[in-house]
Amino acid sequence: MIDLNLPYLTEEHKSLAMLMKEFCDREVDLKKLNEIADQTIPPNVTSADLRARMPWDLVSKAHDAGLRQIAAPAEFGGGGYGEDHIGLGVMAEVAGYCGGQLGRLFTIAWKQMAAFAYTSKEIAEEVLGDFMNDRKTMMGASITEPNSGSDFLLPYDEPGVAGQYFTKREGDEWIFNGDKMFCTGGGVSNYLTIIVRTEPKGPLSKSVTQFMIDTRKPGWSIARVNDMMGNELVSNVQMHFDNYRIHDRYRVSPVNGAFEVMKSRLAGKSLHIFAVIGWAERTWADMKEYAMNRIQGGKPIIQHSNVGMLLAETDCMIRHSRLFLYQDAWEWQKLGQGQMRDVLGWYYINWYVKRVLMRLIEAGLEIYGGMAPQKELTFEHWVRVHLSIMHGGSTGFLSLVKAANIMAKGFTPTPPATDALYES
Amino acid sequence: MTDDRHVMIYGELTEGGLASITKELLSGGEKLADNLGEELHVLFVGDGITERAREALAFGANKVYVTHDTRLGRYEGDCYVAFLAWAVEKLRPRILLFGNTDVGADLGPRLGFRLNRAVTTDCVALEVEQKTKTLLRTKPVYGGLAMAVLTSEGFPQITTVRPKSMSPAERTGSADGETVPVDVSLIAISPRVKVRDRLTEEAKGVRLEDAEIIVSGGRGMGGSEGFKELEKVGKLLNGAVGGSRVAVDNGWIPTSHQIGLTGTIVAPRVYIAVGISGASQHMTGCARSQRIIAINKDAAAPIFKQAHFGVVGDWKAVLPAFVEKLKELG
Amino acid sequence: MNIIVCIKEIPDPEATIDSFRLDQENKALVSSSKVLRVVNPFDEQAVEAALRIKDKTGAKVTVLSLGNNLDRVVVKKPLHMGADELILLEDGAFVGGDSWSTAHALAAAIRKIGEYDLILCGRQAADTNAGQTGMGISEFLGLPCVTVARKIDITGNTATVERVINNGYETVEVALPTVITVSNELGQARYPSIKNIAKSNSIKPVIWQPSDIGLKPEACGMLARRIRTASLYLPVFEATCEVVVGETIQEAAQNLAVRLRLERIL
Repeated sequence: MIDLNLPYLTEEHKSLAMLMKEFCDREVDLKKLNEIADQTIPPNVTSADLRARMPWDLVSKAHDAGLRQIAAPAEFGGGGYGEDHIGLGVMAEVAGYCGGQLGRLFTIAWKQMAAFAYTSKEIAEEVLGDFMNDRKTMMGASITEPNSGSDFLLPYDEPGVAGQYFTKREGDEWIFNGDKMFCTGGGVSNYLTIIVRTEPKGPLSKSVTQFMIDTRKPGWSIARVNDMMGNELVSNVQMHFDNYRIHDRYRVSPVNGAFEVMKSRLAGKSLHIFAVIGWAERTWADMKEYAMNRIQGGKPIIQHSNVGMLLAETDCMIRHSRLFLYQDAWEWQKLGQGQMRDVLGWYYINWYVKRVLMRLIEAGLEIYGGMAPQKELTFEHWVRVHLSIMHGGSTGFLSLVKAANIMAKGFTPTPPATDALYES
Repeated sequence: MTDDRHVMIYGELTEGGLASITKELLSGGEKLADNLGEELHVLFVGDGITERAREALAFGANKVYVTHDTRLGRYEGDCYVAFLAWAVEKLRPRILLFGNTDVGADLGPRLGFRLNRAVTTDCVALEVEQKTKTLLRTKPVYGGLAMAVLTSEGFPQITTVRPKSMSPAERTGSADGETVPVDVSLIAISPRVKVRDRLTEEAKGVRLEDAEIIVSGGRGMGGSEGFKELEKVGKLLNGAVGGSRVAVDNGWIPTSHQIGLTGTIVAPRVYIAVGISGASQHMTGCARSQRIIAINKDAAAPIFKQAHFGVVGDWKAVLPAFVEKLKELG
Repeated sequence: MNIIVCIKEIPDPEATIDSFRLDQENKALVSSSKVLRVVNPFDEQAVEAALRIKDKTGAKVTVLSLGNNLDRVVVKKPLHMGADELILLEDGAFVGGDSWSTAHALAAAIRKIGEYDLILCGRQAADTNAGQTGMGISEFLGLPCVTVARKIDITGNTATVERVINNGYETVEVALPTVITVSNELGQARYPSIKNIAKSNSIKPVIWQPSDIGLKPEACGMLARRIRTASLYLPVFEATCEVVVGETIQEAAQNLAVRLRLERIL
């Protein structure tokens, strides 16, 4: 289990963490979830196919335990923890540790709940009503496009850069045409918060609008499933919009003002990172257990310097990441909604977690030796999933570049648009 | 009444005669009695049990006490504690041994509190401390992670003993010897608990406690389907099927098949543990097996520390191949 | 109806031996601070039994726990599950005891609580595995005791209990007030509810020291032990496992069969 002896955690947080642990211990078969995620994705797969593979009974039990809806506003029957970033964080970490693939299953939906602070009451009622009544309702988020991956993240705000001109207004409706790429959970979600360019030529910070779309409406389809070396339960898709019409009431930011809304919201993405760290801690614990039991050269291999040292180093890095994450969450929470935060911590987390995961992979290869690529160990599944999660712009050196820029130019009250967007 | 101290066993019976636990206590008790240079007595409480109770004399007891009273026909805590408190006062044993059975685990501690004597439970080994003539009681704690040696003051020294921790005594002589009926008629006994019903599930096939070979399944079985496979293996090997607490809690196998600290303690010749991690609460139930064979897909599972043979792999792949080969070998 | 449930805080029963250190001087097994503290699983089931009665016919459920520096996350869990009140016997004098001193103190606390129809305990604690405390409480209070219950129904002033026996169960009836110890066959305890967790920060347990329940410190804990630990040691496992391998899992399985046949084990 993760170490709950952190000063950031209240009694309440620890009790929630223990509830998540208990749920995972009772209900989760880690290997089975991995097997589901590893199922071959056939060509021309539909949303129905992807949804059919989801462990809905597990999701339903999570609802019974109050976990599925814990981040939803209390007035709609949720737990009301949407703004308790540390509470959600520690539960995400435990879900990663004790539930592996389950972590992201929770955080995908939890992350979206913050959006309802900015929607109209009617939309909240409609969408959350669906979420609460139909336990197969999933929610996700979408930004990236086939031609705009890093483009959305670059540390400058040039006019016209990033994002195809996606959405035109026609009276009371908006019409979407174009593709969105690399949408985690897009194939299984009924609702997505989506950011699209609504002003063709302006700088990103003044040209994008956020909507909450229903994937069941006509015009939405899966263009392709991104079949990764390590797929997640919720899968990852490219989506196609073909004259997809949506009423203006589903717009959840000012026109061309998504940035203004996004920058002040909870850094939902770090919720995913809590889950990732949790799963990494579990992977580390399994590695250590293996090293304590595997005997070579007459003693457990943990007593051999190369192994012991790697375990110590990766343990150190994981502890670092945890402290980073909790400190960041705590600062964010202390500042409160709508306040601007110091983004350096956020950049460092993004970059550092990738370093931690890569080092942990390296350590595993050394420690497990010939066993490392064997499918009987969950290590290789974990490696494949995380090499798929970590990618380019969002988890790489770009984060350090942006941090360096800010350091050089000094604190600005408005950080680069892209990072605000990425915090959605 | 006599002033001679002695080792006394609370005896239990089955339809056929002495219960296995009683034979085990007779064997262990005899060693204690020899050590002390004292006699070994057995006390049987019930109604119409004298014939079977006498058998204890053939297994090393010097004396058998037995009641014959309808009020004591079935175990009821209040009645039995009241009787035993009176009997202990009268008979003055130095040491009083109970099996940690349904009855013993209930009766022993209660009698202790009634007599103001501290009781130890579920001990796996007993020795006499020569100077004080008190018992050194060894019992597993922390689910079996550690062993404690415990003592207490005052007589009688009372303890319950874990079934299968001592080898049973063999029938050595005849059942001639002193059988003393105990007249309970004047003792006030008023039960506060009324037994309405007793339902025993017919154990299919061989009983767990008696089985030479046991095939057992844990969390790794994943469902009741898995246990159907184990039943096939059990049939082939003429053995019994058991399960860990997880399997029972999940409803994959009936409670009567539970093996572990709070289930049945077994000590078969062969124990095949399938999809069982080896957590100490379960291992308590099977650690005394002569040979433990482990099948588990997790190479780091603790069971491989206590097993004698094992295969690392999913039972779904291992079992069929294993069974086929056994059949082939004839 | 008033139900009192006694719970014990213990180190996680799933913790492995490398989380513990043998303190030879004090003859105790000390767990690292990293080991999770939990409610003894059987006691959790006792809480569940109480809550099932509360669901059905209504009851006030008071939870009682003895120890020192008790982890609030642990002892409040029954409140999160739905219990109403928490009383702690919390003092250094209470620690280091045995079944006798624990049952004695709990009985004194129960006398002070005064109103009770039913007292529930887990059948045994997963660390000490003694299984006597419930029975001790019944003896000290002069109450009947039914052990290892898997089902409890209350009708009027009678408890109908199904208790676990070898190869089956028996149904018994007993008048209230009574002590009942609960076994895991009762079934899984409910999850704590998030609503209750959210409320719990503000809940302050009642805390009693020995003097509050009419006991001198010498009559509690280590000083009042009747059972002494002469020694504590870690058992050494002699078996070295021969892990049979093969090119494939199936081959390994076949090799195992051959091996066991060679050794005349099967």
